[in-house]
This record gives sequence, structure tokens and C-alpha cells, in this order.
Amino acid sequence: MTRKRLSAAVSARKAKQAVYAALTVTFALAAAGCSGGSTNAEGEGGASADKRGSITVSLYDRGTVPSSEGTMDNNRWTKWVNENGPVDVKYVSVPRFESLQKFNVLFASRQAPDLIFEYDTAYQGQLYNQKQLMPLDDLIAQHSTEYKVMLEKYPALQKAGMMEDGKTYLVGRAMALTPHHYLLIRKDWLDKLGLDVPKTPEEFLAVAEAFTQKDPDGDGQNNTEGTGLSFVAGIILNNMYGTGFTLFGEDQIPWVLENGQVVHDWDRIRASIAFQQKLYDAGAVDKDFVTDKNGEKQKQMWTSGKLGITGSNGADVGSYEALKQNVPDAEVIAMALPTTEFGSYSPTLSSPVQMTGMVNASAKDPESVMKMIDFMVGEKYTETIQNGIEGVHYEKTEDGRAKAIDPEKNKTELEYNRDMSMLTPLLGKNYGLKNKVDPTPAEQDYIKIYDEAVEAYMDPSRPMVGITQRAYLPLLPQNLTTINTNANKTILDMAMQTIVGGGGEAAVDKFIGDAKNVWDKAGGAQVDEFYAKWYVENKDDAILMEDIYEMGKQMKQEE
Amino acid sequence: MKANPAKNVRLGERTASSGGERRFWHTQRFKTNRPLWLMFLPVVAFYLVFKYAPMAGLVIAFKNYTFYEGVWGSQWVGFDNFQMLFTQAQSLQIIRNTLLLSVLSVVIGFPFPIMLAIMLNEVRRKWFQKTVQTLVYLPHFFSWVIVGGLVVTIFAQSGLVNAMLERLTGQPFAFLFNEGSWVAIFLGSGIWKDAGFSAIIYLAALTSIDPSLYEAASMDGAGKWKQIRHITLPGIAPTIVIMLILAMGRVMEVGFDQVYVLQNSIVSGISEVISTYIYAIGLQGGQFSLTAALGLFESLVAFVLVLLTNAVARRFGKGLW
Repeated sequence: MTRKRLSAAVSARKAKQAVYAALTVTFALAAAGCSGGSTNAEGEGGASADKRGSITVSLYDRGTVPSSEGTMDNNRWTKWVNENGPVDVKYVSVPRFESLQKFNVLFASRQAPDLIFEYDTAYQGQLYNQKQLMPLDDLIAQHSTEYKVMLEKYPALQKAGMMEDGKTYLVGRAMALTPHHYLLIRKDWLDKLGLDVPKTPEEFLAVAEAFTQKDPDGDGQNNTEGTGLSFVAGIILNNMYGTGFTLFGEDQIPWVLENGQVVHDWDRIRASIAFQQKLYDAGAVDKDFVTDKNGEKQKQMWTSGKLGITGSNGADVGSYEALKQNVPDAEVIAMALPTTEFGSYSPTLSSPVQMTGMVNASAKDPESVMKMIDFMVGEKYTETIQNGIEGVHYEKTEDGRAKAIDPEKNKTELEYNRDMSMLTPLLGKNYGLKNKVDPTPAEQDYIKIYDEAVEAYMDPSRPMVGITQRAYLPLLPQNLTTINTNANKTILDMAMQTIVGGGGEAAVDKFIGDAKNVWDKAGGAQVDEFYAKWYVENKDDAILMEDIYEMGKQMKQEE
Repeated sequence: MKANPAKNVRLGERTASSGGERRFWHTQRFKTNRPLWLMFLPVVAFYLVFKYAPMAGLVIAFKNYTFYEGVWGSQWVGFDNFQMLFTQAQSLQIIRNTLLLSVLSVVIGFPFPIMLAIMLNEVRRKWFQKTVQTLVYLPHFFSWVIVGGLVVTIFAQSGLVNAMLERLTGQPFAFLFNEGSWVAIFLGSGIWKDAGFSAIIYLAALTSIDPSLYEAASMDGAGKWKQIRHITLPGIAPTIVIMLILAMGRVMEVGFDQVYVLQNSIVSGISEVISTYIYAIGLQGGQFSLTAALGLFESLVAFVLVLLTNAVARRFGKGLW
């Protein structure tokens, strides 16, 4: 071998080694890059007062951020918070309709944000049970300014923020007590067929049948439906009989007060399932209502003017506008729930206080979190997040209300930030349709519907169903939660099968028998006992139905 | 899944043949193959990090898992979770449903791709074959949310099928609310979505059959049918066996998406399966330990099924290992 060839071989080997080395480095870097993401900016010296703290905050993502505005965790409003707020905030976006899964995953991987916003009260309780929440009493007493004032103004916030151990874990906001679920009926159809607004279940059935069979839209075709039965409409039809055990939504709450005691009701469920079965047999409802889990199909029928009675979730002006566009003559009113043998009831109203925020037990810098909570409650934040920048998105009217400068512009630049205002009190001059400056014609109509709903639903003599609103019920311990959810799921499926399966009263009786059986076998008696005991021990302190109406009245006076 | 154990086996042989761990690293064979080993490393890392390490998390099936105490700190509860699972009437039904739906999917769904592949193979006109092939495997690329939406709309009582049925018999039929018809729809939609795509593998196997066999057979007077029976099917038999073993491994895991988008309350007696239950109770309800126990049970059954299938296949000399 000549020298030349030898050196060539050596250099070739060297080159090879270099390549290996480079490859190794690349892999190492890639690996480091993967783990790098999890070390988030926590801010080291949180305790020092002069240094600006840094925290993470959760924020729902409903997929409504226009691409020109960036993303939910990085847009003009998150930037505004970081420029104008007391601390640096890194937002963690959470898909709105998969929020529990996302939070569960974040907690399990120890990446949950410092300040957590979630509406679901059962989930709040679950986090408390799992010891993931930080008690806030001392923090509020020592460091809070704005939120402390709120607590003094609305003592119910304090009550609702407490957990079993008597400490405060939740922060929330005051809200005007207003109708939340509406039962809407086509007044023009009633007039055309010469019918009155139904006052009893029998009349309701007759009206629904007439709407289905007598061609109220006058197009000569048999294509109308009497009433919705899925989602909100279904929930309301259960409420009508005074039961909180609903077939849609998350509230299967069958407990009622009888002679000052909490009992598990079966009679009301029975009557309500029997009635819904009659509606189904009469062909007055969508045959496929079971598969219409979130009421989208019902909404479509309603807005296309083919449905006579529907349930609405909040003041849904959008659907009303769509209906008016398709059927300009449509006339819609909110109707009181028909009176049954169990009395007169109202559908769900909004809760006067709503607990939305929690602090992660492992938050590194609780003081900064408290600063953020105070900031979110303060006027500067609430006004800006609600109305935008003064002079850019709105201007003030003489009486201090906000008037949008360009509603179209606000639709893209402002409306996606709604979930940043989960601590904004929903009352006063800038809240609600009624206070809107220059409402559109559809909004004006809806204000009328709203007034009817207030009249029909806000009267304490026609109360909401149950012992109290779901948010104020005590949380079940883990093992009872398992019993409750598992048994209820089976019973709920059986109820649906009874409605669809027909077979009249006998089938309904069989359903109740089977349901009781399922409930007993699962150990449901323990759940019943838990609520009964809670009521006996806490009826003086707890927020019960009367208190809710009382709080609503108080807030109204304060406005 | 398929490649890995095989690789490990070969790896083991090699180590053994070169006589001991220590010497192997100095052999010429190792040195010349160093780039290959280096490229193999990420694969090993992938399996270790994403497939083997997470298995340790299964211990929560024997614990009362809370976020606060974490996977390792949570309290041991022994077999409590399993006990709770198997005393609930619901769980047994869910396991039964899972088995039933998946076995039916395998038994009924399995032959379709094979038949499709053979039929496509027999088509003379190339353009027709290509067009049909593309069309039948297209649904594979739709998500189940879309396919489920289509199926539910078509078979609803106000849907397309019922509109036709009503014209014929005057009576609509609640396909989605009847357990029998629901299962048929479930299986049918699965076949419609995936048969075309699964056929690709058989089509590939078909190309490896020596054409001279067909020529010889036709000279001996074998018709199309005979050719299929005696040449085509034996030719792709090894592929069929491998696909069957793989399918058996999936028997306990009925795809979550398909069931989830198609199920409804009325047929919950048949449509609630392990994966949807884990989603509803575990991920949404936060009962991680209970559902981990169910998941572990599911994997165990699937593992036994794979072993059984392979044992059967080995009898016929077609075993995977």
C-alpha cells in the first residue's frame, strides 16, 4: 500500500467518523428539543414584589378566532393583557367542548395552568376531591383588592366559592338572574289554526298534533313538526313535570323536596316519560330525536320554519334572524310551561352567581395569580374585553353605555374573546340585549320575547325544579359519583327506549320498575341518603331555591 | 408490530451465533453495519419510549389514582378495581358487546377485501380496474365523523333509505333503533369504508404470482373459477394468514370512532363498547383507575387471541413466529 492510498483511507475513515458524530449530535439535539417544550416559563423569584410575575392561564378555544387575528392564545387581546396587565400571562388554550379531557390530560402530565377557568361545577368538585386546587382565603385576605370588594358586595360569591372543608377554592362572578332556557312557540301558527297557547299537557299534545297534521305553514305539504324533543326542548318538557332528571344535557337530578325532606322522585319522571311517549306516538316530534344529541337538527327545522315549538338556549338571536329570513311572517313568543298535576314550573334560569375560576395547587406564584384575578375583575379589563378599545371599537353614549362603531368589524376583531371575560360580572348597563345601543330589528323583536320570558319564568310561584340549582348542590364523593353516573346512564338509555318503543302506560310502568331496580342494584340508596343528609344539615346555610330568587331581586335593586 | 418481534428474533440469533455479547461489538460484521445500526437506533428508542415505557402506567389499574399523588404515589388497592368492574352488570355487557361487534367485523369483514382484490385482478380493461380501485379505496380517507354523519342521515327515519322503503311498503323502518339492523349498518359501513384500502395489500400479493402458472392451468383446461381456487388463493394464502393474525390482535379494540359516531341510546344494549365506555367514564368522568383496569383486561384478551391464532396458523405451517 502506498502512502497516498493509506492517507486517503485514513481521511475517508475520518470523514465517516465526522458523519457519525454529526448524526449523533443531531439526534441528541432532536431529543433535547422534544423535552424542551415542557419547561414553561414559570418565573423564578415570584415572591419578590418588584419583579413582574409570570403565570399561565387557561382559555377556552371555540375555534372562532379569524385567521387574521392569530390564535386563541396569541391575538390582540392576549397581547393587550400582557401590555396592560400586572403580570405576564401565557395562555393555554383548551378546546371548549373537550375541555374536561384536555384538563385531565394537563393535570395528569403536571402541565395544568396556574389559573384555571371551567364552567362545569361537577368538574370543579372533582379537582377539589383530587386535591388539585389551592385554598384562597389567605391569599384574598392579604393580597386581593378588587376581588375582595366584589366578595363584600355579593356575599353569595363567598358561599358558592366554598368547598366541603369550609375553605374558599373558587372565584366567580355575579350575574343578573335572567331566563336561560326558553320554550318558544310559533304564534302565527296558533292564530292560523285558531288555537290558544297550551296551558296543560293535554292542550300541548293537541297543539303539537295540530301543528303536525294541519299544514300550518300552508305549503300544501305534510312537512311540519309539532314540537322539538331533543336537547333544550326535551329538558324543558321534563322540567314541566317538575323533574330535574333530563334526558339531554348533564343534569340528571331527580331529587325533590317533599314535606321538608329530600327524596328521590319517580312519579314525576314517570309522568314526563309517559307524556313524551304520547308525543312520539302521535308523530308530533322528530322520529330521530334520539340521535339529535345537541339539538342541531331541531334548530335547522326551526329556522327553516317547519317546527312549531322549540327550546332555546339563552337569547338566540341568530336562530331567530335565520327564521325571519326564511319565513318573514313568523311570529315567535315565549310561552309559560303548561301546568301539570305536579304544579307549575319554570325552565332553568341563569344562576345569580357563577363560579368559574380556580387556582392550581401547584401554582408557583399565587400572588401573581391573585393580581391577575383582580385585574380581570377590574373595570379597565372588563370594559375593554367586553366592548373593545374606546375610539376603535366603541364610543360611549351620554348615559355611559357602549355603542359599537362598526358592528361588522367587532364581529371579527372582538367577539372571539368572550371567554376571556369569565370573571366579568354580567349585569348593569352594558349587559344584555335590553341595554344595547341601536338594536337591530331582530334584536328588538327578541327583547319582546325576553320580556315575555321574564314574565313567564321569573315568578317564584312557578319555580325552577329541584332543591336548588345544580351549581349549588353539594359534590358527591368519588365512589358515589361512580354509582350515580353509571346508574343514570343506564336509566337514561331505558327512558329513551321507552319513549321510542311505544307500548303505552304498561311500558312506562315497566320502565319505572326496571329503573328503580337498576338504581337499587348500583347502590343508589347511598346517593339518595347523601343528599337527604346534606339537606338536613345544611338547609340554613346552603343556597336554596328561595335564596336564588332573593339574590336575583337584590341584584336588580342594586343596578 | 409485525416487524419488531421478527427483528428482535433475528437480532438474538445474530448475537448468539457470533459467540457472546462482547465479541459481537468487535466483529467485522458489526463494524461494516454500523450505519444500519445507527439508523435502527431511533426505531428502538421509539418503541422503548412510546410503546414500552407507557406500559408501566398500567399499575394504576391496581391503585386508586389521583392527580395529587401521581402514578407512583397513589394508594395500592389490589384487585378492587377489577372487582368493581366485574360486579357491575353493565361491564359484562360492554365486554360482550365489544367481543360480539369485533368478532363479527373480523368474520364478516375479512373476506371482502380478498374478494375485491381477486375481482379487480380479473378485470381486463386497465382503465376500468384503476378507476374502480381508486373509487373503492377513497372512503378510507374520510374520517369516521363524516362517514358516520352520512350513514346516520341516510338511514334515519326521514332519510333516503326510508323514503324509498315508504314508497315500496308504505312503512318506514327505524334502522338505527333496531339492534339487528344497527349491527348490520355498523358492519356494512365498516366494510364500505375500509375494504377497498385493505384490498391493496392483496393486490400487491397477487402480482407476485407467476403468470406462467395461469398459462399452464388454462392449457390444462382450467376455467377462471378453477384458476382462482387452485392458483390465486394458494398464492396469496400467506398474506391472508398474516392479515388474519393481525386482525385477531385487534379483536378486542373495536375502533372508537366508528362506534362512537354511530351509537345511540336506543341500541345502547349492543352499541356500548369498551373504548366508548373508557372515553365516557375514564377521560370525561376522571375514573382513570377503573378504566385502566378495563383497558388492561382488554389487552390481555387480545394477547391471548393473538397467541391462539398463531398457534393455529403454525399447525398449517404458516405461523408468524
